[in-house]
Amino acid sequence: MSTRKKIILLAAYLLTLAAILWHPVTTVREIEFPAEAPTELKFKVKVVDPYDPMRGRYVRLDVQPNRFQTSDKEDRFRENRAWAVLEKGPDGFARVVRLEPNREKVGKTEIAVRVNRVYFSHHYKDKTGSYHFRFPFERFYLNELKAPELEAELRNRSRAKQYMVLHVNFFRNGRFAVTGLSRAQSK
Amino acid sequence: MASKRQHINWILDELPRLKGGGVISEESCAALTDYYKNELEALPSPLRIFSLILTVMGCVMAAAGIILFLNYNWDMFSKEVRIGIAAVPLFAGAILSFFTIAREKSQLWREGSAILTATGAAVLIAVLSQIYHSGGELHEFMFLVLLLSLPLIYIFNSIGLATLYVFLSFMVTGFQAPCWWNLLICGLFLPFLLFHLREKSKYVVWCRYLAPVAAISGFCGTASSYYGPLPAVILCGIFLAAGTDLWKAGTPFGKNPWLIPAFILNTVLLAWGSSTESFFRITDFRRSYFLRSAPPEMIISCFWIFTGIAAVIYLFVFQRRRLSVARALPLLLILITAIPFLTREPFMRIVYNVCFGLFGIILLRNGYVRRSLLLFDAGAVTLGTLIVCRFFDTDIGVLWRAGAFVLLGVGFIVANMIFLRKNGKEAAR
Repeated sequence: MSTRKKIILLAAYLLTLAAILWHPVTTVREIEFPAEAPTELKFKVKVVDPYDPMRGRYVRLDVQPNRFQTSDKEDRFRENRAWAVLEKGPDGFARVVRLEPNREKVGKTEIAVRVNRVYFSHHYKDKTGSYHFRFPFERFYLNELKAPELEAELRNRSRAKQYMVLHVNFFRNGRFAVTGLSRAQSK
Repeated sequence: MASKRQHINWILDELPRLKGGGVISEESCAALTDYYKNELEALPSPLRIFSLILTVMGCVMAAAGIILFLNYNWDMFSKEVRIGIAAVPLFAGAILSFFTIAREKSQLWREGSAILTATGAAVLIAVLSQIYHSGGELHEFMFLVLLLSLPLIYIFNSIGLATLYVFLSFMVTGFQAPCWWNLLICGLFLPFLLFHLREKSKYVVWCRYLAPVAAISGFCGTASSYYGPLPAVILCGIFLAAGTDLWKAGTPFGKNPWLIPAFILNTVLLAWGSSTESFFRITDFRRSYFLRSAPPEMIISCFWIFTGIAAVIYLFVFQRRRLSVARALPLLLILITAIPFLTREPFMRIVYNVCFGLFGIILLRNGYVRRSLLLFDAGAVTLGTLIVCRFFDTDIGVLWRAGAFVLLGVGFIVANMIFLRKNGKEAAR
């Protein structure tokens, strides 16, 4: 192998390594050392549990609210994705203010997160509709030994119509980090 | 490779006899011996291939072990410690890679470096997902990891990582995954595959097996919801044409995994398309749930880009050999399958029946003319399937059907016997 080829290969490898490191480094920098302090919002959650072959055991959370009442006559979101603008409701939990098709339509001071699997259902009686969606923080990763315990507790609470509370920090650029799951009760 | 090795060994055994018989001079004998000994040394030895396979398997198992170890979720440690531990495989991979490139180490080292770096990336991203409970669904995680691993395949020319890449790309498909993700993942891998599908490559046979898997992954679940059976018809046509080329070049079936599966798939698609209109209904984007919500101009442009690329690849395969009716038929099938995108003509089923029959007759005729039992039987199977399909959906009494089936079966056996006897006589003559 010529020296030139070796240098090209090493440069290509360095670029790849930089690309690989870019994601973890940005994630840690933006979450641990944010330019502005994040806003914490609470969500009511219920549970379903699966396993990820690459990232291990987690409980899948049914995060509320997952519906947004609208006066739209038909679906505005073609790619099943939207940005949900959030705020703290009077009960202390997060509530959805509106849904937007892209980030540009969200104000700079507003808290927004990208939601998935958005679909529209039409209400024929009152001629309104609602959007159903899923939040991107539905997974709560757990230690293998602790998972069954928490799953059982979450199930019992779901049966008793008691929620657990998910705490999520929102950053201005749309990034989020789940900070914990607590046992506060609410009906 | 084994056959080439045998041929060279045979000629090396023959050379002293030729020299002894006075057919070649002593100088020629020495020159030929040197030449063939060098050729023999250049061939990859079975021992070296076996050791490469073992190394790749070892790397894959070690990588799976590292991933499972971190799957445990060590939440008793602080965030910093967990991120620090998770970064170890990536940095070990980086050190190994620098060493491999700088010291020009062998393929075994290159495979190890590529797989360890890719595993390190996957582990670090997975641990961050665990810590911040983010990173989305499995297909989103795999999409990111595969995109980051792709340059390593090219840098290290790693067939082991390439194989992992192709099989793991199936994890990017899924109901929620955007339709172009898997196509992009497999499209970016295409240059590596085409490069190693050249006869000169030492991975040519392995890549022949890898190509259909990559093709299935590329179109599996995503494109099929947009384009119905069209991708399957296109892939089937490409692999059938390429498999036929390999067969004509005398490649044994063990090294030609394209011909028989593509022929079977082709027969199934023809039988399906000639029997039910639902085959074309899936292709009609106006009835598709997924496509109703997408803008029509996007669908049409995607369709033309997709068909255009496929046609160019297909023609590229054709250009190397003379165009015949049998070769043009799969291309015709692609075009007529694409028609329901633009029209809803009910005669498509009839066209498929005609193609089905034509394909069978051409194969029978070619088999007879070239005295090839394989082609003759392929034609018989094609025509037989067509007749069986039509018997099932026509309103004929059971007794008539029974009689016709018996006659058909006897006809097949007799035709084969006549064909074999004729071949035997000609061979004796």
